[in-house]
Amino acid sequence: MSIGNVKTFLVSAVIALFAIGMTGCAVISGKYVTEEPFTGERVKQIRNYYTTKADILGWFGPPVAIARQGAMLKVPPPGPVKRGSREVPAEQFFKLFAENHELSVDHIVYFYQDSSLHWEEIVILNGAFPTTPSMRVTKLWVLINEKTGIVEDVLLGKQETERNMTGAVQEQKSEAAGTRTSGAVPIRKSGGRNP
Amino acid sequence: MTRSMVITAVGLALLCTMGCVVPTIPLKTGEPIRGDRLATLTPGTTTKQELLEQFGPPTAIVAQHEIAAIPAPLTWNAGPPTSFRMIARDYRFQSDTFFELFASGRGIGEYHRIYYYDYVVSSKTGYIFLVAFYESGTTEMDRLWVLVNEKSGIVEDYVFKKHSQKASFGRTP
Repeated sequence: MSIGNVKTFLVSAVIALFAIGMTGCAVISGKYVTEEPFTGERVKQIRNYYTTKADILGWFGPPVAIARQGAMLKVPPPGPVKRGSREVPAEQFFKLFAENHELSVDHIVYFYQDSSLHWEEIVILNGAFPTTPSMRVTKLWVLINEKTGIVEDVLLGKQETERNMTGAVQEQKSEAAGTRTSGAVPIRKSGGRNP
Repeated sequence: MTRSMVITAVGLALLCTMGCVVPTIPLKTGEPIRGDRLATLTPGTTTKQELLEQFGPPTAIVAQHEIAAIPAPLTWNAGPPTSFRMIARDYRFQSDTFFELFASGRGIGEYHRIYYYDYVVSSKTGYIFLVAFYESGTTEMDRLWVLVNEKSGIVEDYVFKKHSQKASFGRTP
């Protein structure tokens, strides 16, 4: 057998093995946007101490929940399987802004959330290896001074929750919400850090 | 021999990229909120009866300071293409979030109700190739909130929000 023939044989064998390996091989994945009340581009347009409450309502519609001092909120769950709601004390939302703002009874927090489902499944030679579906939720908190009707701060937070086949939570990851400031020069508060 | 190997490789590559797009039937909840019907809404003049004639029964009617329940729309869920699931539930929320749309400079009282309409389209499309399959789905929601004074039977205001667009207000907010 000449070297040329060996080379041809090896190449043909590799191609044949590749073809056999591709049989039943598939990467199956999906992404479902289940609710999208706000987009990143719209959020970037929010300017602290400039954007108004009416702007927020016009861009995003009514919030999922409104936090007022001392209240207990009913927040519907994100995602397509909406069942009931969960109770959240309003202080949990105000805590996000307490460090950088002197909060008063005039302050309220608008809460929005959007979600998408992601899943993947790898199929090799008719065997399937699914990954755990994950729900990715983006949350938006908007601090508004109800007296002036002006947005004073905005926070974005992301959460990813993996659920197993029974729907039970397997793992939950959250990115810490980060304060985002932009646009107009903020009003300096006495004794407080300039946002 | 080299030429035939190249042809074989190109042929295999083309084979791997062969595929098709598989759209699924979109799931729709509610009736489309048409522009010509919206044009008939005149705050301060349109009656509740005229509202119901134009738009039919609302998805929900909510009063202030209550926990309202709204049926969740039908949406495609994630999962292998052979196991579709359609999920519909009702979810609860504070009705004051709806009234926030109308709060500016207007006295909202015990006789005010919000008639809520929504039209939701959930769709998904599959892209099938020889070695890969990808599916994507999206949910688009159009919503209409109509503020009605039950005592006078008059529509006082409305807000319409088409998905991904800015809301339009019946009266300037």
